[in-house]
Amino acid sequence: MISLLIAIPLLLAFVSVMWKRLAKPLFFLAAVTNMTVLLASWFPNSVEIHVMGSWKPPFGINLVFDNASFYAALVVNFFFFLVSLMPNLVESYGVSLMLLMAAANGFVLTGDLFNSFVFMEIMTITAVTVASRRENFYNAFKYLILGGIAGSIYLLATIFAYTATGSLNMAHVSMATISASSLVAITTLYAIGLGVEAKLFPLNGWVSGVYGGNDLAPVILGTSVSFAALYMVGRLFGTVFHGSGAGVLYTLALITIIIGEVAALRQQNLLKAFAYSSVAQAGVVVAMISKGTSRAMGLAYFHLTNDAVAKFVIFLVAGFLVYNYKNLNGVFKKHKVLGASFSMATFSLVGFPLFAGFQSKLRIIMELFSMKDYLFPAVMLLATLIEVGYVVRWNVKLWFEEETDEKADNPIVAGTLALILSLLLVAVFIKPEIFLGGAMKMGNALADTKDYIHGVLSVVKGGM
Amino acid sequence: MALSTLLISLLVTSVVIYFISKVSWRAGAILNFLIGVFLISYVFALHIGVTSNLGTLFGQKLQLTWTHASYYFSAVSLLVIVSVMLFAIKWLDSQKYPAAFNMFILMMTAGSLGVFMAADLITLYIFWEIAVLSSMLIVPMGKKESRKAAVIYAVMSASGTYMYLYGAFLAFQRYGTLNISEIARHMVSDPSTGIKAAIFLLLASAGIAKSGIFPLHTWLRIAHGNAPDAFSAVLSGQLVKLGSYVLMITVAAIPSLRVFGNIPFYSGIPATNYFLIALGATSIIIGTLMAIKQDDMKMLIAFSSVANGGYILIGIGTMDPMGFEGGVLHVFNHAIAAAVIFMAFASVVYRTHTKKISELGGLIHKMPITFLAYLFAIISLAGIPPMSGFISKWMIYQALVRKGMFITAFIAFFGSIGSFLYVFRPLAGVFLGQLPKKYKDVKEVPPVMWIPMMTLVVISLVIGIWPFPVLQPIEGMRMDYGIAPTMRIADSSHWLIKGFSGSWNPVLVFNLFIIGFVIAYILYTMFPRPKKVDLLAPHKEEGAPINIYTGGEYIYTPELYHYNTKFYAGFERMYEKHPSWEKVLEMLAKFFHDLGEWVHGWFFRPSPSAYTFWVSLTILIVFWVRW
Amino acid sequence: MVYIISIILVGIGVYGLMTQKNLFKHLISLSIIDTAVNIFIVATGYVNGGKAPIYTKNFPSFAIGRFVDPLPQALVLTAIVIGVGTLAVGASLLVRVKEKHSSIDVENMKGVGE
Repeated sequence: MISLLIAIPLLLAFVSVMWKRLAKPLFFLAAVTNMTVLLASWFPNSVEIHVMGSWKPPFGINLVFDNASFYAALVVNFFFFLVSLMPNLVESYGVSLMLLMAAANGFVLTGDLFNSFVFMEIMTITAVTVASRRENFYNAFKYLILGGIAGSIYLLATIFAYTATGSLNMAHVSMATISASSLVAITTLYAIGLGVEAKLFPLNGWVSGVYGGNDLAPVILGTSVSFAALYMVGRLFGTVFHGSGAGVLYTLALITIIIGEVAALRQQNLLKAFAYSSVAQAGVVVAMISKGTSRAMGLAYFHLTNDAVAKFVIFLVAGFLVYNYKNLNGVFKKHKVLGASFSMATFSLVGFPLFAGFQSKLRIIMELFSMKDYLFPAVMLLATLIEVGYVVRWNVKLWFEEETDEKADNPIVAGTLALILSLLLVAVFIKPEIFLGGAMKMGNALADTKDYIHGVLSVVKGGM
Repeated sequence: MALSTLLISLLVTSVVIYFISKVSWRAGAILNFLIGVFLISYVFALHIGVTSNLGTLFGQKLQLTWTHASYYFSAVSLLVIVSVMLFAIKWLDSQKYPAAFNMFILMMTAGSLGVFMAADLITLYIFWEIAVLSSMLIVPMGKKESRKAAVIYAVMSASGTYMYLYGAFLAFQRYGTLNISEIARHMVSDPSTGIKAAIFLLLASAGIAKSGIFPLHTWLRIAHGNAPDAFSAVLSGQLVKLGSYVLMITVAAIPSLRVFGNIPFYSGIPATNYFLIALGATSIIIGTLMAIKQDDMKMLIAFSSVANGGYILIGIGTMDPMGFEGGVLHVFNHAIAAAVIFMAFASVVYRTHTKKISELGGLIHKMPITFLAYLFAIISLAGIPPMSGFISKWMIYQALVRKGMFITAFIAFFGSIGSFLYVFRPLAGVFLGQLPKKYKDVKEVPPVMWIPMMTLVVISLVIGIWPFPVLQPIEGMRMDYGIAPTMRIADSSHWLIKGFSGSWNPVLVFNLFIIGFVIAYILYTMFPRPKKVDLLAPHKEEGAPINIYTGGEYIYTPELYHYNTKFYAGFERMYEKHPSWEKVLEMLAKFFHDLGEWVHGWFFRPSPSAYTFWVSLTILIVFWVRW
Repeated sequence: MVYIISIILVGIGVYGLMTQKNLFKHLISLSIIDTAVNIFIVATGYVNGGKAPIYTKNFPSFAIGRFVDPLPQALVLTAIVIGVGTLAVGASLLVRVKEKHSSIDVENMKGVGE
């Protein structure tokens, strides 16, 4: 049944190529079906695999469905579902979005290294088309080149893994003993290859142009696609390579945090400012993943979930504002609901109490201290300090500056969604288990290589 | 009602208040005031030692507990806040965002109370952030400049807060608990001085930032100076005291004398405390000198808050029974005085729409009650008997002299004399002197606005004569913290405050003052009154008495001849070219900004070529490092 | 030997990406890197003296040692398709870049601000 997550959007994408007008409702249909499929198979709590073409692992391609991939798929599809509720955002990008959805699901679910490369490339190509909305061609092109290079490196890493172990199956690879020098090559290349999508410094040059270029790209790329990419970081470095190469990730991630925040501070464009902030948050998540323990990884994905929800609201509101107003001073006086949601989301981003970000940030710092890591909390708090600076500056500008005469209609669907999500952030502060439970399960599943290997290589369920 | 229920329902109510205020902001303001009155009665009725659970976070119990310190600080805060809430019922009609103001001020109240009740460092942090966040959202409701002020306030405050958070987790990592008294217990037996000092200073930095102690004092000028006028009273009178509370926690609740007994620096005071005292002394100097220079009356008092924060820190920092009580009592005195002064200014601005001293004058005849409130408040602020402000300063001096800290004592005296200078400037410039023509129709503010001011003045006066109601909880705090628990300072049965070199009988002093006042009044009635002349526009009005000449020249710019322009020019000239700490911090901010520019230019803007370059470089570096 | 070819090709591709100002040349360079990686993949599957992995009369039984590895070739097929996809999207984007910015030369493009 899990293969439906990939098959349905893919199928509907091809159908809608023929009947263009149907793209929007079909996208909605795909999103709803995927959500239904996921909700029907709530947290498997074991490792299930779905083999393709009756090839038993380690041969052939198989999809792995465990707590980690379930949670990741849930988050990914949730944001696609939200986007599908806003027809004016989807416009003529229904086909691209469906392909992106299929690719992101495939990327998350696959248990095969080469297959994950294929899905990553499809993800990049469709993400590029989404990024080119509103004539943002040059930035999309830059993204394509960078994504292409990353893809080549990822492919190279996969081939190295294949030559070193003779297998492409993740479970099988994780069992094999790889010589130290090959492991260095493989993990480094994977770190770089994934680094582009995971927004690691200095491979994240594309982020500001793509996120800042239109209103659709940040909403979906900054939430679903980043979650998928960061999931793969955890899967590869946590499950498959047992934390080899984590030092590289850790160092790059810490630099990413500071660079991202500093770049966000000077940014005058609302979308771009928060694009940089999402770079910094990705840094926090990667650094946390590189710690390798199940708790650390669980907290990383908890933080990422909070960040994704907040970013969705922020980008949604920011996209609306940037493309409806020339002068953003005091616009929230005209859009109180949007403004309140935006403020709550940004405060959650900073980690003020009463909002979800507080729960994840404090937990992360606490976990780091208990691991006797004193550098990362300091970096994180410094980053938060810079964050306070620009978050408050934007809020003050958007709420309190003298407004102009420009006027735009209140977007009802977007406003409602933003409000619900920002209230969700408050709910998560009060009851963190809403996200934390799933994220911790995800962390456990990612860290537990033995269970993963056992599940993939011995139990065969389902199949097509 | 349990403490946690109270705080949570306050937070929820604040949102309700917003929607009520949307319908009628005045109803919201009145409701706020009633809630405030309820809170005061609630606070007075609470028994010391009540605890309440807020929940668990990260496996740690979050607890609220009601101590002498929470009682004292909450009562002082509520006094200030409720006065401002009453004041706001009328004052808000000059404001643009009354509904949001009502909501945030109640939220801030809940946050502040939570800080004072917190039994562990994280609960304190949570409520601290709530208080900071909601107050930070009120600041930009003022004039244009206030927008920038909010950002600076938020960043400065955050810089202290995050250092505090780091310290809190450092303590948690080492001692396995977040409970303040538990941490205190562990710290006493911890052999590593370095870590203890780090925790101590990190925790204290939140207090340093919040109470405007050098080097994180610069936000006070811009934030207090530009916030909505009545809210400055809360900022300066109440929020700054959150910082003093945290400082008191770090210095006294964690028994610094015992914890750092192995690093005595001077006269039994550990180096860590002495470091804080030095910061306090620096703040007194900076605050005083800068306050003397200000032409903006709100900024003037903002700097005076810096100086007074210094007094509080010095007093508490000595950990001497006398100094501690003096410092804590000064919290009360400064809170009341600053609140009254800022409310008086708010009244002046409410009527005249300017806060520049040199544009005002002669309002004593138009706004006599406001003038009276201001007069009594500055008497207290400058530390002149019989107002309560004297007692706290006297106690601090006692401690300093006994400890033989003569440099600090000298600085404290200097600050006191300086405060005569700077509080006189608005007095002379705003209330005395000539009334500019454009203000000839100015009226006194309505009773809703002057009643809270006068109430606070009366309280301050009464406490100046009979300080024991305030000194009693302070003594309780001192006993809680175990600072010379056998010694009694406040002796209400003999009407005495016992010092080391003599005692102070406030009632007697008050009576002497009354006698002096009566004599002065008699003399005043016996001698002829001065004559009123018109200074500023001798040529404008026909028939006005022209008895001002400036070398026979026609006066085009009478403002420049106004005695309030460059009021202390001679004095200011002595430190005209002083180094500015504000500029240093601005440079730091600019550095980050430029760094962002640089990062953007190098890594984010370029063409695909540069991206490729960075990718290749990263691969090479990583391989090089790992092989 | 074949490895060296692919390394040289990657070098050419990276050089092209770093030095060229024309965006289309970037795309070509990317394509060269793709090809280089593909050549590398095929090369890894080669076994010295190995035969095509097809069962014939000469190889009636399972003879791992003498077959070349067939899997990389299958992978390369997919990779080539993906490379073509990338190329196509890139080219179509460049057409629009040219329309919007009136050039595809990095130095002559108009309206490329931040």
